[in-house]
Amino acid sequence: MNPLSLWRSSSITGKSILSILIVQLAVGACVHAYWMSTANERVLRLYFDSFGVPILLLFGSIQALCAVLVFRNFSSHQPLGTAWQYIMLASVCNFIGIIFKHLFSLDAAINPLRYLPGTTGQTRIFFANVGTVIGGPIQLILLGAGLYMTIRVYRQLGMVSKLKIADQVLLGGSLLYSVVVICGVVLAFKDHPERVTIERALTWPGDYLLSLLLLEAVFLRRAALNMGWGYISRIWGAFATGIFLASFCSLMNWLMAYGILTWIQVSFVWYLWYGVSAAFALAPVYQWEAVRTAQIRLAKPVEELGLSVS
Amino acid sequence: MRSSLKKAIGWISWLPHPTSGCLIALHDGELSESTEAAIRTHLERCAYCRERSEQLLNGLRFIHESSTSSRPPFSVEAGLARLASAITSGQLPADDQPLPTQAAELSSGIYERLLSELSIYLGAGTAARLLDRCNHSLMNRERLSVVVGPVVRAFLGNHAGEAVLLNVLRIWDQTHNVANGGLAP
Repeated sequence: MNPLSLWRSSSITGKSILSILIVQLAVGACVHAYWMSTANERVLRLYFDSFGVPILLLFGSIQALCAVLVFRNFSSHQPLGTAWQYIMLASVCNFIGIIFKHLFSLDAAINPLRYLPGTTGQTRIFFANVGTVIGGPIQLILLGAGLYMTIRVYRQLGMVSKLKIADQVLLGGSLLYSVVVICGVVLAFKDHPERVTIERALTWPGDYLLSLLLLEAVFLRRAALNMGWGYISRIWGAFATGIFLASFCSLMNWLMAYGILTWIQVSFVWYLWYGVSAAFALAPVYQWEAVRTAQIRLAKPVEELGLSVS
Repeated sequence: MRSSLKKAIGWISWLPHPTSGCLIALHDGELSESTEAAIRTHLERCAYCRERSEQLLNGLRFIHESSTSSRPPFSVEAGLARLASAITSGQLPADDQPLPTQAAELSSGIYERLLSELSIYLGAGTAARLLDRCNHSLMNRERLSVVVGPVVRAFLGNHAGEAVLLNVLRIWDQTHNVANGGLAP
């Protein structure tokens, strides 16, 4: 079965996520161009608050739901069952983080806290900070543990082959990124301690953990490439893609913090976070699709399976 | 009474069963001395875990061998030279001799169809490596089950892994049935 027919046979959820992402990015490109030419922030705010947040919530909820369903398919004594347990917890943390950081901190009509009495700007900042911690370091630690266990299973099955030159370049890049993060934090405290805000400092553990996840992503990418195009490689490939994208976005932010790039030059990164969210959502969706496909194909007569015969 | 109690306590002490991860770690020598000793004691007493451990290690061995085995690249020139040599020395089978082509075709047919099915989940690379490993035993249904089962269960979980394995075995049966003119294998 070729990738095209695999795409055709896959469920609607994966296709929907990709379609929503493409539309969101296309609209984002138009909004960005409009904002650059007119400096009208209202359209930009409308795009991120009224359209961006629901999409992040949608991707986050799909990721958490599918991760729970996938986890239930494994028994506790299976090595990947433990891995999916951590990934499920990471997905739930990610969803809670999105609710706290992007919805409850928003000063817009879609924030339900806005209609509660006593909700102030301080409350919103509090939720944003809690969301940053839950959806940042806590989520990344859990995800890192899950991916580590997955790599361990790959290694035990003899499926992690020797790294190639491209992998070594990526490994070098991830080490360089961790150096950038560490130096950035040290310099921020040393040069301008008064500029270090809690909101900014709360993102640092996440940035550093991302550099560790990058190392895992390199091994996962190699293992997925070795397997060939199938559901399993798509699952771990999606995680690796999400980590690479998130690291790239984070690196751009650090380069801006160093003064190497201006915030205008880095502004395209705002849109890439939807790609990160979609990639992380796609991974458990693909695993769930694999489970469903196995059950659906078992229910069909062999003649209708469309097996290729030379 | 005392012996029954002792037996019951002994039975309880076997629980909980070590996880598959622990059994693999034991095989890899990654456990601390105390944990290793505890699991070995458990294995001595628990037939269920001994069987699990054996199944796991068999599966891992097959996968490891299949992923690390290196084959010499196929050379067309060498193949033609061998064929030419066989023709000139008259070693080709005579027309009236039974040819193993039917078995070869059946094996090839099973290979193609199983590769197609397993590629959906495992990817063509892993599926081919798995099937290559049991290529000579593709006519052996049990062997196929032993090689493919642990991998699909490991990656897809129990239910889905079982469904994939059942499907693979169903395809195997159907191909055999067709090859045998509709007779059961």
